[in-house]
Amino acid sequence: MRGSDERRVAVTGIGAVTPLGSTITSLWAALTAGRSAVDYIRRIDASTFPTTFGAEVRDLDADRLPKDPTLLALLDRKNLFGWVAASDALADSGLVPPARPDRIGVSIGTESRRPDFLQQLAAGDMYTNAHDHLRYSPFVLAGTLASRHGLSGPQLTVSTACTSSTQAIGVAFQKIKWGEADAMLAGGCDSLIDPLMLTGFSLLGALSKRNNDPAHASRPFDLHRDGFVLGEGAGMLVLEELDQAQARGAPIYGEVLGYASTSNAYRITDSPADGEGAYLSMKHALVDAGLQPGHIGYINAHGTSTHQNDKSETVAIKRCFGESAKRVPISSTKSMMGHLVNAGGAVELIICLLTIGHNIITPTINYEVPDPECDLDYVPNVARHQQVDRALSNSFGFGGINATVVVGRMNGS
Amino acid sequence: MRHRVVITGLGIVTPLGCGVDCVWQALSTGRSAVQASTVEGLDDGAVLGARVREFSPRDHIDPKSLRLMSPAVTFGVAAAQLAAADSGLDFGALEPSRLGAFVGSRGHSSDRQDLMPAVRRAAANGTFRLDTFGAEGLPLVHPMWLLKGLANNVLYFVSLRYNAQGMNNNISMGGVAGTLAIGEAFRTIQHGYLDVAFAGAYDSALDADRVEMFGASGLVTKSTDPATASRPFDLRRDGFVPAEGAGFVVLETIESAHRRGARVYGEVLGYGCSTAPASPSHLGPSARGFAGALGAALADASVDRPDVVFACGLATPSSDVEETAGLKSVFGGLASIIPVPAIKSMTGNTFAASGAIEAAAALLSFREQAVPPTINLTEPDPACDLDYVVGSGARSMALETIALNNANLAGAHAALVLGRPR
Repeated sequence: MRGSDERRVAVTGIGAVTPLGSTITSLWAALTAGRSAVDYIRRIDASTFPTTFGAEVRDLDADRLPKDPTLLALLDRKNLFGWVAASDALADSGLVPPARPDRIGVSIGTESRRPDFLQQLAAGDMYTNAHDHLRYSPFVLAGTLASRHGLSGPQLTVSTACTSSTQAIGVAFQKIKWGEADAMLAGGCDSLIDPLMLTGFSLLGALSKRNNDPAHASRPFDLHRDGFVLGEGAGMLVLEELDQAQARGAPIYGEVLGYASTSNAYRITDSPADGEGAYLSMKHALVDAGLQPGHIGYINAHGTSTHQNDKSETVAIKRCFGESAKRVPISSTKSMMGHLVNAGGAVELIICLLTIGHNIITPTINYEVPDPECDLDYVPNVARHQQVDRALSNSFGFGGINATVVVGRMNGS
Repeated sequence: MRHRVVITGLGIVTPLGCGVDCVWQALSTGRSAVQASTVEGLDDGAVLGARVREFSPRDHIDPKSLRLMSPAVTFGVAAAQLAAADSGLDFGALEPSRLGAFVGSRGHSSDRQDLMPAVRRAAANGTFRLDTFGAEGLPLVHPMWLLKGLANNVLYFVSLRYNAQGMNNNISMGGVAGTLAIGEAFRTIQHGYLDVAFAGAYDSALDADRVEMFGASGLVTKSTDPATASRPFDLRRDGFVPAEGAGFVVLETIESAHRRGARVYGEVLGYGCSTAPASPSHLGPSARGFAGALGAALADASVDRPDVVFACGLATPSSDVEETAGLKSVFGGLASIIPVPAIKSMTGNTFAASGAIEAAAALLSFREQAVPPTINLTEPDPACDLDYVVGSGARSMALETIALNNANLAGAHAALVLGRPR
């Protein structure tokens, strides 16, 4: 639905810190090899929790972290992931130092995490530092990235749990399309390797309890899936107005073609059996992109590996794609790196762009026993060489919020 | 084609009251909502604060849903319901995917009281042990604990109640969240993606965690006199007064409002954001940020000089000087003739909710053709030398356009320009 005065938006930089690797190169190598990053949790003692495993970031070199003590006082673990991914994305795009800083903004999906909250409560000694209100605020990463990189345009922090970074990227896309900004640093970060998150999600029965076999715990669309796997990491993209990007000879990973968000208006955790909200999200994003379902060559599914999500998402894809649902390759990269929640959508959109760039579709691993209710092509276990010109990424969150972004190859559109 | 966007419903749950008329009555007579208060769960829980009053969550929300809501969430949900009723819209008759919701959220929160029994169990031997917590503490935590702190809780309940299935967002940005929620809803309707949207925000700075956190920040006033504690732009200001509340508006296209003969409070004419922290370490609002956001909103609205600017008026020593300088850089020599009231002098700092509550106050100002004062400004600061509408009564004046400033503590600034119904 591009109006005559609306501009086109390219992706000119990417950066990711994930359990599968903390560089784009290592991430892509692991994804195409179908490797699992799920293992027993080492960062905290999770041995007595109902779930004892997760997907941790383990290969992030200390020399990639900022040295400035002020930044280290402001940014906690998840925000440091975000900082590193953002630095990589900005360097990749060559956008810094910006010529028009007021035309460049930041849009981040995240929320505050408090891995030490329980210990602090027990000690009764919560806050001693004047920076603490910022350190524990959801918006400190966006504020810090904007100020340190001199990006003085619109700034946004979105908190819709699993949907956050997809919405953050969607709004960034709109800001450029509608002329409020020329470029946006957009993405998300999170760390669920946190006693409170382990507690909260365990109590809701949302996590896999396959404690004897963590590497096979995240098994989206498989009949024996039993819940999702907590992960951590960050994904960041530089979105840029196409003419400007081309004029400065920027690398172009693809074009953002469409975005939509919807709400299920149903239950707070479950998605409806008819997949209505997810269906509308995909449908509206395709309309926004001016595309038909048959134009999409790959879907990066939300695919959490919960019984409910994978079934409902399958129904939604069938409703949206009709005849082409059986033909479009769908994979859930959460099978390899678990659920990055606030960072998930951003990393998964980066994967969509890499898929287009390499013409390799990353697999859904641990897919062993087909579920009769999930009967589409989930690219089981092994990466597939196949031309992909346009891809669609789904994110669905607690509170019933859904969002979809559609990206495409620049010369293919 | 860009649609014109108007506001047809208002709902507010504030320390000055919960109905638009009683809040206007308080604002226009310069009443302070700040009181000596206590905070549950703190050994020394005495604080000055502006608490929501004349509000009973049970009047608005069913008991089952209430179990999933912190107090701040009840403010937000109730404010949205008040706005819905006020709009007179038949929500059931709307196309669900053309109705959206945009919420300025306080963010994910953890209620300490809900965790304490489990924490005490895990620290029974004097030292907290996570393995003991996992084994023995977990069953003591309410199974729905995570959902009670969900950052997009209000968005969920509002979407559910009104079957709002369209474009949405949940913005966690402290003091600019309410402004951004309205701004983003405005943009989405303006560009044709929705016909109707809820936009608003809620927050509380008066739970145990926030009170302790801001206690360490040095940003809260040390005053012990409730009535005069919140004093934006006054020489003796020494920080903000923590407060709580919520505000929501219903926005729709002007065509939709006219078609159904709706009462229109005002039009959203412009929206702008800018980032510029006062310093790299303490971030905070800056003159450049205030000017950038306000300048962008005015340009978006094609308005050179609004009749009034509702100030952010945070009442910290530095922010008010920065805001004053920002206004001067936008308006030059004309800055001194534009009234700049700060209603945080009466409501305290409701953080995320500020932008929404202040937008509601601005819309009431159109209706009344009068602007509320900045109270407690008794000793002028030479560095804050604009017309802040000093006094304790509303000033009558012709109002066509009103701009609103806000900023958060990490250098984000946002502004709206509203117009009188035409």
